[in-house]
Amino acid sequence: MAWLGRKVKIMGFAAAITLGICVISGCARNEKQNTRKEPYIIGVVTKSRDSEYWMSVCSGMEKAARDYGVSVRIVSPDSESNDKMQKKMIHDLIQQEVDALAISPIASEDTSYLGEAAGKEIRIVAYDTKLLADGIPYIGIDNRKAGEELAACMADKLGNRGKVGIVTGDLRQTAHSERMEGILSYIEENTDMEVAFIESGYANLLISDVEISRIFSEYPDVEGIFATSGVTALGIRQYLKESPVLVMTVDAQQDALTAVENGEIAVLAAQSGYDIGYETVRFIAENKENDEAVLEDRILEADILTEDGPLP
Amino acid sequence: MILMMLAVTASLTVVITMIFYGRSADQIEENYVENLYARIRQMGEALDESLGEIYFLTVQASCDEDILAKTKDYLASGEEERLAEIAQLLRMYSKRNVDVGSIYLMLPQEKIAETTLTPQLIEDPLRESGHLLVFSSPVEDSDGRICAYIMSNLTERSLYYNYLDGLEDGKTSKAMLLDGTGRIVSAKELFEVGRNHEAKQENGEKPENEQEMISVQYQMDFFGYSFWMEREKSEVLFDLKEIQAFMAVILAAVFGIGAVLIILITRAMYQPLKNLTETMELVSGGELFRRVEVTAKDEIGTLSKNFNDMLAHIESLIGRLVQEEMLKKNAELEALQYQITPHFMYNTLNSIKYAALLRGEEEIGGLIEDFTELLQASIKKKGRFVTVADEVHFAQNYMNLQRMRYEEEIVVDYQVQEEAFACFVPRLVLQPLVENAILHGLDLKAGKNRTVIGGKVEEGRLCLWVEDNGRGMSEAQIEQLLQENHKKEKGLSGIGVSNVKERMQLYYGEAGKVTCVSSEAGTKVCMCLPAYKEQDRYAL
Repeated sequence: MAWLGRKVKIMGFAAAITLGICVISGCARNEKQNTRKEPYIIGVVTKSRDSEYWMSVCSGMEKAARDYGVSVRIVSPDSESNDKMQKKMIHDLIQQEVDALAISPIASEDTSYLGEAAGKEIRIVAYDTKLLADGIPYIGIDNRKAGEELAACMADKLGNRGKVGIVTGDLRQTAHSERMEGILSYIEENTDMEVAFIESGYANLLISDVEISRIFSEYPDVEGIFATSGVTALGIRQYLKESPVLVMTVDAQQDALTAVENGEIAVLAAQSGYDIGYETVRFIAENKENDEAVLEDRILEADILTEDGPLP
Repeated sequence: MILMMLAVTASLTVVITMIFYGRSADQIEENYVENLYARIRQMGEALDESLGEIYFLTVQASCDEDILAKTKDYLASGEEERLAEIAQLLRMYSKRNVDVGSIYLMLPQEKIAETTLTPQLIEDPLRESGHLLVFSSPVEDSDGRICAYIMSNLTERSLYYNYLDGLEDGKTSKAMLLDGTGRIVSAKELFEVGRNHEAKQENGEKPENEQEMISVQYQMDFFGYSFWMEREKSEVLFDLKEIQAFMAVILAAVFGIGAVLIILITRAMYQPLKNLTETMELVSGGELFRRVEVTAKDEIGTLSKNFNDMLAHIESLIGRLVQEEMLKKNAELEALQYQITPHFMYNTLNSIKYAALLRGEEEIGGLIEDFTELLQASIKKKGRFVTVADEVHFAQNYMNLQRMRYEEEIVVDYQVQEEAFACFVPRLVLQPLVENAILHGLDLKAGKNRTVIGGKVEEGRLCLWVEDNGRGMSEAQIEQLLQENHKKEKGLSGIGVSNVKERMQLYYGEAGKVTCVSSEAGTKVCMCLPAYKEQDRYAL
């Protein structure tokens, strides 16, 4: 009888183990999540889509979108001067009723679409270039400060004297206008240098040799040139070849960085397109529940690079 | 037992196999779904990119200053040549993307669909049948007036053959392109285009209630369009059946190997156990000489060895017991032999007694009788307890002999109550006290020759005492008398007062006491014990 009892016990034990295994394995099965929340969609409008800078901006945005669980819809006009196309794209994204819109405006003063966006409760954020309207947060470097720092470097290298020239991009864009203002105010307030000329309207398009040739024949004694865009600076440098004229600019493209290492560009205020893109999406994603709040600008640091490395 | 182990093994194997099968089936289905999802995602990303490109070139064309100028020119002049030039420009745009079927310039009086970033599905305006996916963007002059629309068209069929056809293989699957609202934008069957698709789900997931079909969906990031695809589960089940067969073979093989191993192991374990059990049964039947054969060094081997050792120990114990029993018997036989001698002695002494009486020597005859009785009392082995009367009689015998020996007048006064005579006391307790009084108490030369032998029963206790009027004893002498443990060599027997005291304590414990009081007037040794009349009441 005792033996029979033990048999029953062993069988019971085996049954209990079996049941346990079944229960555990049953419980351990991963049930797939059956529902998914609608993604938060950020419409992004760039100024252009062909330059390395803008590609890195887009790369940073897509990475941040993955990191913060939002979706980005990036559209780009064909060039940094096609404000008409950019405006159409902004309009299309607003029609699409995206949740937020990140714009790098070609025309900073054109704010005609803000009302339409507000009507659809779409948050607008400006990045890379400010939008001249109240309550629109800006994510990017302090362009005026970058201009001042370039001017300080130029003054240092030229001994606070001599003639310099400025070649800027489209002055409707605050990025270029603020850089220029920074350069001019520093030179005026702190140096005996003279600004021989200001040529504007060159934005991410290689300045033609004819233009450069005209400028240098008009101002042969210029010792330094500020270009508010890296591509323009590289065009000028290519023309100048071995000339001792100092070229300084703001950019983050790899070829501009290489030109600094080679000494072709004397000083570069480097802004990271990737960082600007990443921070923009992060900024929107972090504030997505914060619809009513007026948001502060997020200013990113620009590194001042020379042939010898970054300046402190 | 083997059957039971086999049953347990079989059930565990089946359960484990079922769990693994379930897992594998889930995994296969999951992999299958993931694979499908990866395919439609790839297609989705390609289409998304292409649509993005078409959107870009549509907007670009709508902002084209040349097109604007020529359109305005045409609207003003109505010259057909302008239209040909515009058509030439639009062809340049359409060549930039292979998916673009055509790009039209629609004049504003021909109202078309609302312009948005997302393409619209419309009936082909040129052909009676078929659908187009249209991107449109207005061509505006500098004042913002709309002069015309640029329409980039993709035919539904080209979408189907470029993107969906590759996803469908055979009759068991179905693929569709849906817009953000769940309307079918492209499908194999033309009649389905434009209808609402019911089974709209989230990306990459399959409905729980769907038993026959597996369906997956990928929603494109940019335009919100979705690729939807379903496939019959039977295709996956085909793989599962293979797994089932494989599992069955594995199950059978594992069970077979397990069964063989269990039988072998159980036999190896069970045989020594069986040997042990059988030997135990034989030993319990009395065959103590049996031993278990120890074949292994495992637990059962140890158990068997210990059992064998225990048997050996029991055998040796039994041997010793038998030996001791034999020795005891021998001793008893010897003792019987020794008893013969006193009988002979008593008989001889009686013969001498009667010879003396016949010759008229009554005193010698009486002394011989006293001696014989005293000898019998001291040698007799049976009966450890005697009555006080017997004890007093032994004391009288002893006194008679002592009187003859010392040739002195020893006066003995017997003061024993009648009630005390019938009480039992250990044999020979009074004689040692009398002997002590004669040997150490009386001073015959000084005329101190009086001894009292007393006894009384009081409150259930019997007290016997021997009192003399002799020299008296010091405290040290009394202590020596009561504590002295060595064997006495003088006197009748080896029994002294200390021995009496020990025996009293041994038989009666606290109730048995021997005390001694002494002064210059003499010594009184007294013993007290419970008064009783059943001979062996205090026998040990």
